[in-house]
Amino acid sequence: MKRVLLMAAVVPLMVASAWADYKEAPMLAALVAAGELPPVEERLPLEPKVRAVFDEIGTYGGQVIVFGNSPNPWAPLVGENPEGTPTPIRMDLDGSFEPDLALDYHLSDDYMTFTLTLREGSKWSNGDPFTAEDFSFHFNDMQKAELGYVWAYPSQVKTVTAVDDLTVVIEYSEPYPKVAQDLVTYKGTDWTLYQPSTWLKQWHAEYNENANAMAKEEGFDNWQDAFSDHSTFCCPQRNIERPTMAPFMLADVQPTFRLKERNPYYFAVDSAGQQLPYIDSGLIQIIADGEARRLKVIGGEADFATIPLDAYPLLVQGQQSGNYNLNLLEAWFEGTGLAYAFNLNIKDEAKRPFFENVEFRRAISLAIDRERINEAQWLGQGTPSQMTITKLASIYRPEWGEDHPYARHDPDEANRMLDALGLGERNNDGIRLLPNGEPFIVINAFHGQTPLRAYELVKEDFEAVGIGLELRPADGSVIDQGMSGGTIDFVRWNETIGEFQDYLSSGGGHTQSLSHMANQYWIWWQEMNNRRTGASTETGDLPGEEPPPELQEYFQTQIVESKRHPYGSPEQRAASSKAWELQAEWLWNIGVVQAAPMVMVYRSNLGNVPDQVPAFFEGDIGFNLYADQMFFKN
Amino acid sequence: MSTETRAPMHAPTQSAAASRAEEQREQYYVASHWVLMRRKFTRHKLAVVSAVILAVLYFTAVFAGFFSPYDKIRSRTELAFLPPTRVHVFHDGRLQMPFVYGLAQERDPATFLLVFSEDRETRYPIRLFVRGEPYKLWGLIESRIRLFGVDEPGVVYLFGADDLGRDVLTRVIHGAQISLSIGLVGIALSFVLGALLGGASGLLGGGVDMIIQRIVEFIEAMPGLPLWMALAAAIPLEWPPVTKYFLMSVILSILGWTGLARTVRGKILQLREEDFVTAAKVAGTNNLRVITGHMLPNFVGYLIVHVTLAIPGMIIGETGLSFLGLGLTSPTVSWGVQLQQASNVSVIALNPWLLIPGLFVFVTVLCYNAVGDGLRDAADPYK
Amino acid sequence: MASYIGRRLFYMVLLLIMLSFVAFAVIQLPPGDWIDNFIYYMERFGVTLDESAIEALNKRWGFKEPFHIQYWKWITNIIVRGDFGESATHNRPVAELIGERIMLSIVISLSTMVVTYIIAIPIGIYSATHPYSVGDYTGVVFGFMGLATPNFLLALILMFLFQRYFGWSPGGLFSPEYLVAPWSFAKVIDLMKHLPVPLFVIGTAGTAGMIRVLRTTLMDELGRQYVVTARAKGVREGRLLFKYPIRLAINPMVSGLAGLLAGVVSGEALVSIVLSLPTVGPLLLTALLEQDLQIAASLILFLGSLGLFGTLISDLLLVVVDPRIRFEKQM
Repeated sequence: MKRVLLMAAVVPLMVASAWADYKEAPMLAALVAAGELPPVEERLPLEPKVRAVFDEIGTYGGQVIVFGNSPNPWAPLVGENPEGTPTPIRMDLDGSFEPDLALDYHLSDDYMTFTLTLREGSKWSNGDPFTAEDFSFHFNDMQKAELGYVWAYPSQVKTVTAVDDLTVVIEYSEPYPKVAQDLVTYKGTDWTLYQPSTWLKQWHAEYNENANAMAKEEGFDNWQDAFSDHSTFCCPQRNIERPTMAPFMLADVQPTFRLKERNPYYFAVDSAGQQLPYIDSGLIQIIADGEARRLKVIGGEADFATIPLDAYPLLVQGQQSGNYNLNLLEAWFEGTGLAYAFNLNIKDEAKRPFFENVEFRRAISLAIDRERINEAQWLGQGTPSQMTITKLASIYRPEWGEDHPYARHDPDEANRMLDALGLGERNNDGIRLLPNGEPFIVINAFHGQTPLRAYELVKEDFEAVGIGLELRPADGSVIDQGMSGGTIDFVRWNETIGEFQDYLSSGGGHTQSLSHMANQYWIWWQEMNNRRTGASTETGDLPGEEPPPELQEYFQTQIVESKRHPYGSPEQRAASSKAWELQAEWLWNIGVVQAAPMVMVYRSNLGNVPDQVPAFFEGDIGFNLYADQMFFKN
Repeated sequence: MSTETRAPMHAPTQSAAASRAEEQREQYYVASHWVLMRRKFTRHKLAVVSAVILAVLYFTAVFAGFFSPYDKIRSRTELAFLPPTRVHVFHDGRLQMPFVYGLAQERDPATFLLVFSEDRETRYPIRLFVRGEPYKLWGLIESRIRLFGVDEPGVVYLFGADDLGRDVLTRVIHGAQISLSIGLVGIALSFVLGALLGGASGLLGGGVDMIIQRIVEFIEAMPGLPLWMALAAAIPLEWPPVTKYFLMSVILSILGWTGLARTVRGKILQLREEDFVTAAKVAGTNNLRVITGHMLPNFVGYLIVHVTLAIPGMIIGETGLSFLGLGLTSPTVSWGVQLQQASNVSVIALNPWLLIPGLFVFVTVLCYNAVGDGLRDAADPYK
Repeated sequence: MASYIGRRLFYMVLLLIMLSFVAFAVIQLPPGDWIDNFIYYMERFGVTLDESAIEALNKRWGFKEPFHIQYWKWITNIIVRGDFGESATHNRPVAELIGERIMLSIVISLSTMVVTYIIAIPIGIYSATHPYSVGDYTGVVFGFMGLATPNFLLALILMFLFQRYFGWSPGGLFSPEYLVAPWSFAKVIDLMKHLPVPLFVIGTAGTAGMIRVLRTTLMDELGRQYVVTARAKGVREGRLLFKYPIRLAINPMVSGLAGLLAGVVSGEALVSIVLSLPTVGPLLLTALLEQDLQIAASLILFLGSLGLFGTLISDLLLVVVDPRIRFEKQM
């Protein structure tokens, strides 16, 4: 993923010759006329980002009304950054990478040095210049100086240098091929990568001799405290004074709503030279309860929303009166499928040999009636499948998912296999007996208020082959500890995973379930790997337990091999494929359904709405994601 | 209070014989107290009707397997969200024994909903005492006899089906088993605690009273929600939900006694000043006797009322906690669980029959309150 | 009287200290903390937080420090500086979060109390004066409707019906178009459209208890000799009723005030959650679910002190309203 500087050389010439002047929103033009704002040419960088819009060039004006669940960082933090802060690099819907906030980027051939070139003249929403200093300030003045609350760079980062105003050089202590991919996610935002340094320096004694006095005035003990408070990282962003690079800046924060207004200094234009965003403002009304939110969307109050599939029938019925359109998006994130994992390191010695036995896992996989679950939970719209990478991925193979030999429903075969494993004895209720005489009952902990219909159907499928399954609701932290501690037998995990997430995750992604549900193995392998790479200098016995060879091979392929090369390279694709082949063979995760669609609801006259889920995306598509190019058709 | 009218009955007498006679008379009066109470209770028509309804509900719940036509947990996804079955008595314009038509279903390609229609060609008469799916009465007696039903593959779902195609009527009946009973032990515990501590507070006074009152204040000031959540998270996962909920209700009943304790204390403070108690004391009756013989009959009615009114609170409480995910969860069947599943927009708009358990909660709570009112009025039978 | 109040205040402070400790302990009873929850949540979506990120969070919020140190920091900050800490979830000071919600909580509680009284008092008086009549039964059944229906369900159903048949925007207090707008006549109308459901649902939940108290005490009073005497002397029924018995029957309702102050917040929690009202109840619930320590502990302390104050005030009020009650008995 090395970009040649050719583009950078050609584009500015085109830009300079194509538009003598840029156009701006009427509300900004009025401010310029009143002398409260510099003209648009001065606000835009010399070479603004030219946004290729999805459908058509838009027109200015209007307010988008959306609903949020709470002023809470969790949901929107996932995948996309909550305030819609642009990242230096962006991934397009088709999966290609484009410089965005940055003018260009370059990764050295040894993957050790990464250079970002910024757009000359780009500015924060308060008019402060956006420079390389904003990056080095984050790393040197904050992270290394342990000042303020800072979301640190990855540990492989050795130095961050502002070579000049427009050039940032990041040096790594070991090859780091995925930096460009990192920067597409929340790791490339103004709370993880760069800071509004000009603004923050007001509270820094080294840059402002009055910083202490200012801190006292604001009610803090010293300048460090004041600095920390102002630097406090995102989610939700609470400080309306803090400048942003996003298309919209925060104008008001209340318990019932968040109001965002257009950023007059936003760095992107459309191909007609109109400064983006088209829409004047966004109102995010906080409606905490999911049902109330759903009612509002069905009633046509939202201009844009994504909603789980089970509301679809009602949405179709309300479409006429609600004046909205519906898109069914094939998706792969939470809620669009179902998969499970057994705890390979369960403490219960009687169960453990079975959970670790691939024959047992295959038998269970055969016992599950995927069609029925798909009908009952996803209105028949998902894809019954083994657990694997999403079927939308370029490396997907049907024999890993839909056509997996153990993804069919065959309880008779499952029964035969379980009998052959020495589980032939049953008690009066028809539950098989473990060798120690105890009934074979699996504890399935789940997160949330109530079990999904699907969970109850899986329970029935288990019982049909003589294995008991008990559903237990629990808090996230309880489940977390129960998995690693070896007290929870069976959990829902990672229904499917996107290709991009699979690459990005370091010990996460698909292996994440194993890091919890084979915790002892994971600890062992991780420490072993750290010692091998020199990241750990410990000696003596390795902690945890040595994993079986197939698992070691899997960890090696998934965590090490597939991350040695940039995303999309043949080496990376081959290694990732190998990892998924291992999963298909060993069934550490048992899949049920994948790729059920999400419903996107949008106002009938809203333009430039995406018709597919972007490859880098993992959660609910919020208004922020494509906010800068959406517009209202007249 | 009509205590004044009773006071003269405890006129002081000195001789042993007279006191025996007085005791006999008193026994008569105490006995007649209950008789009077019953008479008074039957005057409260609503209370009587309510008591009968409650009796029917409990009876049905006890023999749930027999009264419910289907299995409570086994899913039949092909019948998901089946509307309540229509029972017909006319076919081709002629009167018949009650019967239902067969069913045909398909998925609507536009809305993805399962749509059901009646297949007028096939008919299934409703029979009484049919052999249905097997069940175990009280977990012991195996049986297949159910009150009513139709031959397979006919379906008679009088209250419709839930999201997994299970009979709502069946689940209401089974849900009653848990909803009507699970909090009873907790209530009994808090009742005993409340009566004892309230009694001690009122009778002993002084330092004991002061401490108990401060404890009452403290407990009442503490919001309940955090306690529930902490308990819910602290109980081991392996425990079945019903056990867990039962245990939580028991633990929390340790905190639930304050209301009754205050009532009892207030009542005792009030009674202490009444003439007949003073009279008994002057007559030399010992303290215990004063309490059991003279004061207790006077507020036993209140105690009973307190219990009858605590039960509906517990039924509503179960629904609320299940709604928050802190109470019972499916596949356990209770009214709270059913209402939790029904509390979403799709159900209200498309499958309102899933709200039927709410109707049962409503009626039950109302009945308990009416019975409580009747008992309260009856507790003062001398008016 | 002064020494009585003094003693009560002293005990209250003692109880508050205990309460603060219990509040802090109870929240930490479930295993894990906010960060564990956060990590789990992120992982469910396939996002693994780097060690450095987790470290940053720990440093920021200090959840991994031992219990007594966290408690000490929290409580001394409150006492010395009136600083209730910051919420990890909201990334804002707790005092601000509670502050912006408490007014609405109080407004809703007070207005629902009015609704409760408006419904409960007439029914209570009528059924006490006409016991066992059809009117008595009807009134009582109506009054018990709110108690007998699970509130969360009633709220949801009403919200649905109001939207479907009147087109009123469900949930929250304002439709989006009036959220940001300055106060105007139209905005008031919009607010009015959002109030009936919460007021009715929360209001009717309390009527049952009120009716019962009123009915029973009033029936007791009406049987007393002074009433009989007055009636024998030919005092008209209406005057008879309002002269003393009703005043006396109102007494227990005053002691109900104690619960009311605490109920300001806890009573409406479920309904507020369903209706998405920005009150304190949902704040507490989510804080507990997410183990947002600072908010949860501060709120429990806050609600607890409201409850204790309520008891004290209602005890004092009772003394004022009903001179028959002496301090000695109260203690």
